[in-house]
Amino acid sequence: MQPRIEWRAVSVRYPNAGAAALKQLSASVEAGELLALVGESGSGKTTALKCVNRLVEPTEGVVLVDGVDVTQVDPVALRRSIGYVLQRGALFPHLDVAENIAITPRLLGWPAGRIAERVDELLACVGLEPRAYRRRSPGELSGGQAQRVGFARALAARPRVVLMDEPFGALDALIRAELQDEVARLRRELGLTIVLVTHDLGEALALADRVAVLRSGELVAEGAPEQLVRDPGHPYAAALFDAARRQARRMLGPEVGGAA
Amino acid sequence: MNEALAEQLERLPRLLAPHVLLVAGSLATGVLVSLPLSLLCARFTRLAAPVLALASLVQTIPALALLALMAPLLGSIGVLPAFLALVIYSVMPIARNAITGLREVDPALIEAARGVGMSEGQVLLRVRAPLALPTMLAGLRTATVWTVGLATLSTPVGARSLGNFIFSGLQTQNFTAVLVGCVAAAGLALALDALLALVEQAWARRRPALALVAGAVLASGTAWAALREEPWRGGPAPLRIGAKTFTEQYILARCIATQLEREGRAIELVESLGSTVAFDALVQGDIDVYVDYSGTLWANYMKRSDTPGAARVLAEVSDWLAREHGVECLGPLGFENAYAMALPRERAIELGIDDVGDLVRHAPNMTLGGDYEFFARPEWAALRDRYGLGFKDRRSFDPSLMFRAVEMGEVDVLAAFSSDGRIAAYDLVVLDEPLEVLPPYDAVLLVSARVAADPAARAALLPLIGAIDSEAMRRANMQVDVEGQTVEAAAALLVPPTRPPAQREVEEDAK
Ligand SMILES: Nc1ncnc2c1ncn2[C@@H]1O[C@H](COP(=O)(O)OP(=O)(O)O)[C@@H](O)[C@H]1O
Ligand SMILES: [Mg+2]
Repeated sequence: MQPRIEWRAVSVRYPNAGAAALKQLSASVEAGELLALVGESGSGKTTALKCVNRLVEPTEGVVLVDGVDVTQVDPVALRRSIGYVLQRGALFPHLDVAENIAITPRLLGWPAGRIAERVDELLACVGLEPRAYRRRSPGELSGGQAQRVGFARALAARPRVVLMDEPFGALDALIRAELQDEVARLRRELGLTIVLVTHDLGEALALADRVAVLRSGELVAEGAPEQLVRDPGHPYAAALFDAARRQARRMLGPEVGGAA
Repeated sequence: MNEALAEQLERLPRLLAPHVLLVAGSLATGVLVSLPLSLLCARFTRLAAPVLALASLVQTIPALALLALMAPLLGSIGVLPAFLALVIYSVMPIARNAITGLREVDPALIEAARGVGMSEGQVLLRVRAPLALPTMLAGLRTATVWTVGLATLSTPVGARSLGNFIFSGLQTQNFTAVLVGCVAAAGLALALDALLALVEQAWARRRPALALVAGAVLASGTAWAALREEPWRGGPAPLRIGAKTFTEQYILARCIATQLEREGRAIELVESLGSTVAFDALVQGDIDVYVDYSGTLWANYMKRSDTPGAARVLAEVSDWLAREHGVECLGPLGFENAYAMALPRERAIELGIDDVGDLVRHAPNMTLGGDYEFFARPEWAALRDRYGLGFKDRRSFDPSLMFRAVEMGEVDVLAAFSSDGRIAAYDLVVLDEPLEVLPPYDAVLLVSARVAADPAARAALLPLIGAIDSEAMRRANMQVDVEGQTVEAAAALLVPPTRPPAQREVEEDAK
């Protein structure tokens, strides 16, 4: 089967930057899969993600979506067909909730009636009562609510692929868990293909079908969570898992993290 | 209400309306210029630095100079040069704030805008511009307050504004007028600023109704001004009477106005013109009539330094005006207003000074005061060189303050004007000038080609020729400068109450 997204030996070197931000990344995401990109800050996760919707152009290599080289597609059209979720939602403060959600459909020229319906449907879908939230301004939302609207905005034009860059960053633990469940549910219900960037390994293991570990722009380990936990395959990945395990043990006692 | 105040308030609508129109027009144009410019700078970031540098450079030109330069640059006076100068000035704060505002939008939001599928143009117009709007509005507010203030400086280039109160009020010692002008300008600035603050509020609190209210008030204010001014008005233009920035000129402009109005002509006073602006304006046909002085034209425009006597100077000046500029000199009014050296009577007696020659010996211990122009004029150079005058110091003053300066002992000798009523009031003596270095300064009535070809208007003005002698002019000047009467009252005493019947017959015979 053709992967939905594929990085083929992708390298990115930013102008005026020393080392390459991404080095020969080869990876793929099957349709309906959730791939988590993990690694510490500066490891190249965001760079890898942005290569998919052409916010960053690879210096070498190609990125394919549904088998098509993305550089062959108009970047604006490409981005309208791919959902994009940023930290804290990154909602536009001069637009209200409904207007934020409606952006991509509007850019695509949907009729107003259909947009309004879609906005209410999405608000309900992300667990916000449409009548209460439609006209709110982003400033009046809590962090969790803002990110729910962020999901709704990304899903508005019915994309098959959604890119998420630390969507749960800067949220309280409780809200974080709630939203993680929300993402799990949404992708099941909508059959989404998701690339999720996170520096939280626990989050990645819990949500992802497959996890890719980046370090200094290099892919050091990749596989399904259970497989990676058993055999990290790289000392850095092993250390990462170890740290996560120790943290869980400290929090919940030896019986939880001791499984391996 | 105080009568003097009531009189000034009556003038208010006539001067407020063009002021409002000038401000509204130049701000609107300033926005129309700076917004696309700023968007361009946001899109092509390399443009921003040079644009901002140029705008700052323009800002360092003193406003009065920029306004004064516009007149000769455009070869016209009135609203156009004032408007252009104000536009140039308003672009700076608007563009600077717009460029900064556009630049400082949160990069995460710009990234999000691209990510949801906006083109670069859409990112700019739908995200960066609205997010920068509060900063832009702040820039517009700054520009508004500046422009309202700077517009008062458009009076010397011949645009009516609240500055007319201030310029003429300062010259004629009418401080009620000055106060009315200042308060009106400050009030206008505050009101406009408050309305723009309301627009900011409306935007911040998402209350379009507030913005509509502010917009409606702004629009109706501008509409009132426009209806009053009717800049689109067709039909024959009124005859425009010029006046330079001193009392005598204000009085004479009203005498001219009275004559023309008696003939049923529509007139417009264009007062407080810069000295050279007035002559250039007449030549350009921007004004139709004003009073100048033969010696001024002789020395400053014809660049002559010989002094062949009053009659010859007058004849040659008239000739030159007609030949070189198509301007007609209708004739002398009957008095002279010469530059003359004057000093306090007591001091003159004490030192035994009778004429300029006697001054030479004492000059090294004395300070000479003059108006802004004097020390740059050829007359001063001639006096200085021919008599060998070397003063300890020279100081320039506004003419209205010069006499105060001599009274307080800040200066010892004045380059005064011989028809000035304050010479007598401050008990100064005018020194003879035995070498006759200075040309005669007969006041002459100059008219544009348009009036020269208009027999009725010419006929209305002719009774002024020879009708005002030195004594009468000095008295009229004194009534305003010393006794605190209004310019109108002094003018009413000066113009002949009715046209002498004899003269009327002569003219009718001539037809
Ligand atoms: N626009 C950019 N210009 C130059 N260097 C950049 C830019 N964006 C990221 N980098 C650098 O590239 C590397 C990878 O960054 P990034 O992909 O954002 O990492 P992560 O998302 O894992 O924190 C870092 O060293 C970062 O400093
Ligand atoms: Mg990142």
